[in-house]
Amino acid sequence: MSDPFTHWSEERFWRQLEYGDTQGAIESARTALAAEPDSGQLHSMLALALLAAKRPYAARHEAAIARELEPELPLAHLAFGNALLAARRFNEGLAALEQAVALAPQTSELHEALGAGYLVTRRFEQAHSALQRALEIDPENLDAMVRLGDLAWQQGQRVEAEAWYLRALASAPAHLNALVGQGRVLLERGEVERARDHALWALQQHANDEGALLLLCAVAARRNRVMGLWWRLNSWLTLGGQRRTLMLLIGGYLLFNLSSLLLTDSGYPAAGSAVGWLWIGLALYSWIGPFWFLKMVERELARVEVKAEY
Amino acid sequence: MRGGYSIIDEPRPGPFARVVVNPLWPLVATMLAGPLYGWGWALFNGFALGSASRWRELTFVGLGVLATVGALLLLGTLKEAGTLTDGAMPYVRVALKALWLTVAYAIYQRQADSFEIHETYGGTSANGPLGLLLVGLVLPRLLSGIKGVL
Repeated sequence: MSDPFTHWSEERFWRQLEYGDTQGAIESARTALAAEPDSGQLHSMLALALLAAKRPYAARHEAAIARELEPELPLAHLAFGNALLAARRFNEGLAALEQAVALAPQTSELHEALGAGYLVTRRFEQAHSALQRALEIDPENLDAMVRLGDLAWQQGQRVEAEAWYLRALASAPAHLNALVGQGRVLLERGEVERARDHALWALQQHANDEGALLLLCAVAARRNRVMGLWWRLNSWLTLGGQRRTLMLLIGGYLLFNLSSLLLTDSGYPAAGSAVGWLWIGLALYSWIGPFWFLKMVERELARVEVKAEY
Repeated sequence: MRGGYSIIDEPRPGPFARVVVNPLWPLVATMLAGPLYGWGWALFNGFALGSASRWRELTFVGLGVLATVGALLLLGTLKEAGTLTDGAMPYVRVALKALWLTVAYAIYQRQADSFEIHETYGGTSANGPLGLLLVGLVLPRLLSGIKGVL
């Protein structure tokens, strides 16, 4: 790549992305784009960094520019497909990922990304084929092994999932996603302490890793069920997206108001008042819950000793 | 520090950037003082922040106003026709509040993304609770006082 985005800084960009420094990666790509605005490669890279920073709208915009500038660039289709998946436009996202694979059919990582896309959309058979193809091309593709573990996990095949995670860990004992996957298996089996160790070990490699942090939160939720309830509710809402949160908020508000009115009108003012107190209790819990829960997680995080090179 | 290339979802703060607050506070103002103050504050906040979705936020408010006016006209007609009794009015109020909150929440969700980016780049924010006190308590009383004098 030409000046000023030298090979060194491109390498730095990927390292920033790998270590979760999404803001640094965005700034690297932005600086390079200021000098080279017509590079599809740079727009694709910026799109991937924006996706990692959970800015799907901007990522989609950048990936669309990249595709327009360089329609034959697999990275542009990869970024576009992932951005569409993040926006829950699943069919279009998968079509873009399939296009990326068609442009570079011998690239294991693209098959793996396509498999991950199928996994998100719960198309298990297609996910299995794509991930197996990724492994055929590159038998050392550890991410594909972990994805196969995730696939088995989602299908309820716990033993097979663990086998894949352990296979990846045998090749790379500090593989982040494999550690997190195995930690999840252990947590479900009730081995809370070992699950926590896996989360802490993963965080030693990569202090910002979302999967490891989520695992640590799940461990904390298992240890204190009352405060953990807030975490479970929050996770459930996040999985359902903004629509679910909105429906629950408005629905809860309506239910509270209507039940108060109905009970009072029906001659049960005490019950109406109890509903009011229940609402206040819920409000207090949702105020205190996150604060208390974060304190618990912070106590665990204080034990993490990040690797020197990180 | 931002370089030369501009990313589409980034806010472009205007001259009132110093009074930008976390968009949660206008949402709370809608709950406490009603849509006139809550939506108004949210819109002002969006433009002061230079929110990437400010025009969409304005559209939400426009649609909210239209829906409220439509609902009030319909309710007036139903009440005149005798279909709607006085006993049903508290329930109607709840439905209206739900509509107002939906609009406020939709604005909040969009503005929150821009606010987060604003903070990431070191943008400052004003005191939200103080703003809530002013917009949610002082301003309504002030306006009602002025109305009383006139």
